[in-house]
Amino acid sequence: MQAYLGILALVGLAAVICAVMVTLSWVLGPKKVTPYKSSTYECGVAPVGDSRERFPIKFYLVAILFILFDIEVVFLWSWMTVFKHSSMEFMRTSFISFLIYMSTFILGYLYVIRVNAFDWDETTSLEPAKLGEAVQES
Amino acid sequence: MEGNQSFNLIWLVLGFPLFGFLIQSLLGKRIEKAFGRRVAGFLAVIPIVAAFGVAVLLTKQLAGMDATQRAEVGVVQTLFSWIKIASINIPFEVRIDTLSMTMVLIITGIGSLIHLYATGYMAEEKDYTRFFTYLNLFIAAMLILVLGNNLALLFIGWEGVGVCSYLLIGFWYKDLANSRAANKAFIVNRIGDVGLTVGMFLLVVLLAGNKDKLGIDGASGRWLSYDVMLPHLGELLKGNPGMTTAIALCLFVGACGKSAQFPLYLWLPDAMAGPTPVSALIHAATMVTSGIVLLNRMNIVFQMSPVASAIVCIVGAFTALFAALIAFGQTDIKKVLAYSTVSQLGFMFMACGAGAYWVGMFHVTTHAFFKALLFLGSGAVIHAMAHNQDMRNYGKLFKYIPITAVTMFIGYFAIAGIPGLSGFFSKEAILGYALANDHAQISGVNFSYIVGWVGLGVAMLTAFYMTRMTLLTFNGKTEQWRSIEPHHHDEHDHAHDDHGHHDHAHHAHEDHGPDEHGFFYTDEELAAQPHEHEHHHDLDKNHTPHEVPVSMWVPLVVLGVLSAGGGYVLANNHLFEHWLYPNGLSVLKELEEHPHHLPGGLSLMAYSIIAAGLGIVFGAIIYFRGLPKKEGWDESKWSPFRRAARDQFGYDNAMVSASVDGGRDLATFSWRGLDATVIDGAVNGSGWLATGIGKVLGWLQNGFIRAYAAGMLLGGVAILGYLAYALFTGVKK
Amino acid sequence: MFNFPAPTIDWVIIAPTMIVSITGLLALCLEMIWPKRDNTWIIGVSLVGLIMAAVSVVAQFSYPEATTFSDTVIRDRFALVMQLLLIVAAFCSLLFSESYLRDKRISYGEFYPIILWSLVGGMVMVTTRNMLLMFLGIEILSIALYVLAGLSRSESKSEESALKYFLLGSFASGFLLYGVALLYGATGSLDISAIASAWPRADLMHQTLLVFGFGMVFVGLGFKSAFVPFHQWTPDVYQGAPTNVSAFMAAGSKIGALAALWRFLEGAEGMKAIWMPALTVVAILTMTAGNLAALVQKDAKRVLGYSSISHAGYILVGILAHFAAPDKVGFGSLAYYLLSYTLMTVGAFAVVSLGANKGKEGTKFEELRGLWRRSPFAVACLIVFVASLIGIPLTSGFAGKFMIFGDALKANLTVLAIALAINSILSVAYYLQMIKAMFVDDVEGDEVIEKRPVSLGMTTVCALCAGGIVAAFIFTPVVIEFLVGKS
Repeated sequence: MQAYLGILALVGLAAVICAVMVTLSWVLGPKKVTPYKSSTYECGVAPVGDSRERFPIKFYLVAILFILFDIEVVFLWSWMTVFKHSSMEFMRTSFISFLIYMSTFILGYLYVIRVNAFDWDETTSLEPAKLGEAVQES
Repeated sequence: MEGNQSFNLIWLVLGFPLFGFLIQSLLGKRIEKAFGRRVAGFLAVIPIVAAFGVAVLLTKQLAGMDATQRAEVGVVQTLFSWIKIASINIPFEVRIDTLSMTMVLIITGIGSLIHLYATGYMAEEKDYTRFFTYLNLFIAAMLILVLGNNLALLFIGWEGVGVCSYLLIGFWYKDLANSRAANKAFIVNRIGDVGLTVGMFLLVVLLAGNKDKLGIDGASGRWLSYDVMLPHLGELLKGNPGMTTAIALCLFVGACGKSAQFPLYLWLPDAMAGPTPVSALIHAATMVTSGIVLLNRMNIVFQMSPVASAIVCIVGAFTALFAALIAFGQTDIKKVLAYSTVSQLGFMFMACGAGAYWVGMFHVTTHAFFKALLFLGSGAVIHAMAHNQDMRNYGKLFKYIPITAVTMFIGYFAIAGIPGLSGFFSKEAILGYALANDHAQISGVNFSYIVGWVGLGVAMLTAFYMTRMTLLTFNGKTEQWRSIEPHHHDEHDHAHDDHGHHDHAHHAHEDHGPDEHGFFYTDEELAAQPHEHEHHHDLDKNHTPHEVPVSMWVPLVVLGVLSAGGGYVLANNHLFEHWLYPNGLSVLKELEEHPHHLPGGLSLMAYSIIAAGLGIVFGAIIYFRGLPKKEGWDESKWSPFRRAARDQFGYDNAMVSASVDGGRDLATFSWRGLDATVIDGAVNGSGWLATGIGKVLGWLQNGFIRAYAAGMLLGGVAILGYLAYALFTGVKK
Repeated sequence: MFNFPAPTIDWVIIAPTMIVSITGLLALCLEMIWPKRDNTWIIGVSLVGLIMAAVSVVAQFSYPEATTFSDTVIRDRFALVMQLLLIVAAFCSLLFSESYLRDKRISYGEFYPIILWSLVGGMVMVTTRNMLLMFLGIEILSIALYVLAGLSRSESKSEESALKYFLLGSFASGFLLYGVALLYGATGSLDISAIASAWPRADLMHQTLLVFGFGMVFVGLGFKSAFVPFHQWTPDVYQGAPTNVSAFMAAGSKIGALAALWRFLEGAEGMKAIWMPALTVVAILTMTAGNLAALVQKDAKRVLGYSSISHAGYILVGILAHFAAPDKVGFGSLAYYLLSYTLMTVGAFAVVSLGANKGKEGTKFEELRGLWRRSPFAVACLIVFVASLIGIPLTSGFAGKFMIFGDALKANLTVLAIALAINSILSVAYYLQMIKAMFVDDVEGDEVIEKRPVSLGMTTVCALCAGGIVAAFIFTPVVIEFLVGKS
């Protein structure tokens, strides 16, 4: 415990100094509010519209998909590191295992493409056949 | 005996009807739609016929065994372990012995004939496959009843046939009368079932207390199975005479319910509301005999209890007499047969009471032949007469439906006791045993002797009223329906068709107004009742009866042959007696078969023939020329006796009012007096408490995730806190 | 440099899991080939896959116990039975899904692969004693369920349900993972059986680690099993999620969690004296709170949610009875009860799902009025399910409860036995409310009830579940013998 006391003291000191500096500047600093100052800062450009703007969920979707496939690379790297220095038997087993793993990923990727997850203009709705309604041929 | 391979086929006997039931219930409608009625009906008949075939094979095989072995030990086949609690082990097992196989042959044999007949009879019915679903299920349940190797299985079958009978009586459930009849049958049967269950429980208590003493193998736990229990039961009962009588009487109450004996016979006549094949199968040939089967199976209990036997005798004789008298007041052809069934069942109980169990079974068998014949014949008549059941509309039918008439006459002669036909042999044996023996005694009075003479009288009455029925239908001077006037017909609408109401039951209820208790329907619903049977064309003066189709008269002919010859074949050389009881009874070994001295120096056979002859002659004198004036449509001109008989001497009426009104009063009391104050108070109180707590919990359930998470956290902390506390305070290891 | 041994793989042991996963992939491929079209093929493939998986499970009943993948995957009777139960749960849930999803206007083909993979998660959970693999299983099971709970995207209830389940589920996973970490720290092994061997020779610090680790794991699993006080998500989530998903959640997720709990308790049997009182209280609270809160509900799915809470309590009693007297009480009652619970819950949810119409859920009591006339057979079956849930004789619910009651007495857990009996009586009221809504209360006003055609799948699932319940009652010893083998 003794050995860590110094670190604890350092953390405590840093926290105190930060707090004091922020508080002092807030207490002592002059406050002159002008409309221009209180407006949103947007890289020097005059703000347009509400900041709580709705934007397409597609961004989110693409981000998620990116993360998913990104993880694959992480696994790929660590597997590779082990793979190249292992016994033949292990290589065989792990190669096949990884192949299975990759193929499920590829399947997932195909699915993502197939359901037009990257297609920005797509409207999602179900075929009438699926909703149990008679399909009307017109 | 376990696992005797060659008798494995018995599962087919049970399985076929069940399979048929499944086919009919699950696929019946589709089959009917896809391949037509005939195929669906055919598929219902086949399993029963197949079961019969297998049963014949098995019986042959059984006949090849040693006589004692096959009758007293039998063959036990186990399917699976069913109930296994502590020291009780009740497997699902069947017992193949002469008694059970006899019943199996009757059930499947007569059953297949009736199925065949029903394919024709029900051909115009909307719910064709539903009917056969029930019918197949009934056969399966009945087989379980007779084949089961313990009382628990018997009980399953017992309730199974009860349910099926309920479903079938109420087959035309849209008709209020039928629903009522079904309810009545079901409720009255429940009373009998109480007796049976209590009897079973008493038996279990008795056995459980003594099973070590008698060396019944406790390890396997199968001490409720017949083959383990029955050989020891006599010894066990000897030490407990009071218990014996109690068990015997309880079982007898059960038997009374199913076999329609006096206090509980009420349901059987009303059960004629069901389709005629049902009446034939259930209410004549098979189900009602289950009481006799029970008595035979448990005969040791009755052998050990003269008092119970005497009561069986008395009840049997009284029922026989009472029902025979009522039959005189009936104008509905099926009603007459229903009461004759009740009466004949009384005969069977007389035999069992007198200690001649095999004779009871013998009469069951012959009765199955001729009563099924009579019922199917009556069905054919009804079919020919546009579903009109009132005999006052019949007459001179012989020339229109000759096959039916001839076979019906055979059945009539058989039940009347004309020598040579089947009924004669069994009835004579019943009377003989009753008069010759003194087993059924209460404090020295030999009831079986008295009962024997009563039986002789009833035999005469039987011949009499059966003559009345047959002659009114087939003979006479006029074809009565020719004189039906349109308005006249309307007046008697209730007596008009197969599904319709029966006279006296109707009267009985009318006294209470139309369902004043609101037992079944509210008034609005009653008013909205669709009149289902409008699709039948009515009987009018221009009606010409036609002989029934082949599928219907073939069973009649087969049954006719059996009714005529069956008795002689079975009675010859004591064939039937030795088949069932090769060594006589275990306790009452010395049963006399014929009385030695009868007053007047005549033999019993002479007496029987005289009785039958007198009955027939009287009947013929009165009814040969057709319907006598004073038994006509105007019932006020009837003799007081006949009117009383029509109303079952007020018995049905009294029972209905006592049970319905009395029940209502009791219910009102328990509702107002007990339920509303005491019980509701307690229940509502605790209900409020519970609901209150529920509301608090509901308030905790406020839907906020943060609250839930906090709850989890607090709960987790509490649990961890307790664990830490327990660990550190040393509640460990 | 790295000398990892190559693991030996016994394909037979993982065959059921593999079959289900591959079926899921196939189903997804089908959806990709004909997206947004009729789902018939997908359902067909899924059901066939499940049947094959079930066969491959049952076929292994006669095989000896074995492990594979470096002892992470095990085959014993318990694992096989639990897998079978999970498959049954998924099978029944799938059967009625299509018609329901159509009525809700959310007939996405992806539903089927996702629920299959959820099932895979459950199967992984029950076939392992490795804590990390178990965690993996739970996550596979749960994440799939999070997605499914939000399947009905146009309904705010469904979205709420998914989010709630996800957030609280992650919270619980945190507990679980923390517990696993503590246990690993104390034993140096991820295998649960290491706990049993570590406990007797642990000093106070390690004991503390073990006890806390166990407690954390219990919180995590208790969440999944819906024990009080980790139960509050249950009614909300069951109500919001699509009904077929709720059915699988109630049955499948619970089986997995309880099986995992069983394994953990096996490991922690040495510290029985410490956790037994705590778990007893949890069991009593779970039974009682579930039943009491259900009394004031007005929505059939919420009622079933609470009912599943109280049933979790009953099952916990059975589990505790085993661990209080391991030599007297086996897992027969647990397996039997879970089977009957699966049948009755899935069946009840199936019937309740009939309330759905034109994209609306329609499970409030007043919306269920007169359902009897709309689909008589299904509602008649509901009587069987409710009778079983209450525990009325002639149903397996009765037999199961009776056995658990007996077990509790055998194990001298009298308090639990009494609590169970009292709760059984309490529960009658709210189940009857449900029945009353469907049978007795009629639609007011001019609304005409039409008899709507019920899909074949719905009829089948009703018949299967109702038949199964009755058959399981009649053949109780046979069923138990089938599940746990000859003893």
